[in-house]
Amino acid sequence: MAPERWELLYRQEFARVYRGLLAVLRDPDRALDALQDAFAAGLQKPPADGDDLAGWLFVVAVRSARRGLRRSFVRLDQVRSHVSKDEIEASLDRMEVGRLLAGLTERQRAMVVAQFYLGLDHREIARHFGVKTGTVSATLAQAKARMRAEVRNVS
Amino acid sequence: MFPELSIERVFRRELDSLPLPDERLWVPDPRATRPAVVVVSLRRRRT
Repeated sequence: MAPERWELLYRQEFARVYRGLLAVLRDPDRALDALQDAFAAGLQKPPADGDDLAGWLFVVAVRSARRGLRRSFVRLDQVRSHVSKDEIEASLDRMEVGRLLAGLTERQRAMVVAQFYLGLDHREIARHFGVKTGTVSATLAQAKARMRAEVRNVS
Repeated sequence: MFPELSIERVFRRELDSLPLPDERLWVPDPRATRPAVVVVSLRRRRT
């Protein structure tokens, strides 16, 4: 895939994937770093044709964030010029979804966001994360049970 | 969980309100290279 084509596709999916990463990581700098890592990974080895691009970018970014990789392309002063981590956490804490996600592990949050925000099914989530479909089902079932319990506690 | 709306709609409605960074930051700028690494070689002096 030509780099220009890859950049165009990446830009089309950026907003959705970035917001999904914010919900999982709760940190704008980590989310941006991780998504830019995924962009760089796609430049080197683009996803297969027909792959769900948002799902691919999301999972590659989540993995990158877990490894704690720091990108080297953007200067720190640029990274710090956007919204702060505290503002994002405050926004998420005001949201029903944000509060429910806060009670989950990062892995559970990633799969819940992949399903309910990015619209991936269990099979797609399993393929992207490199796990069995049964693992996805079990992780999502645990996450939903915890979210239901949280709703019951609040009401 | 969310009786009036499907959970997907609630996720979209709420998460779509999260702010985005400046568009100039979306794509990494390869011209902004990493800080130069200063390599210092220490030579052992024979005494």
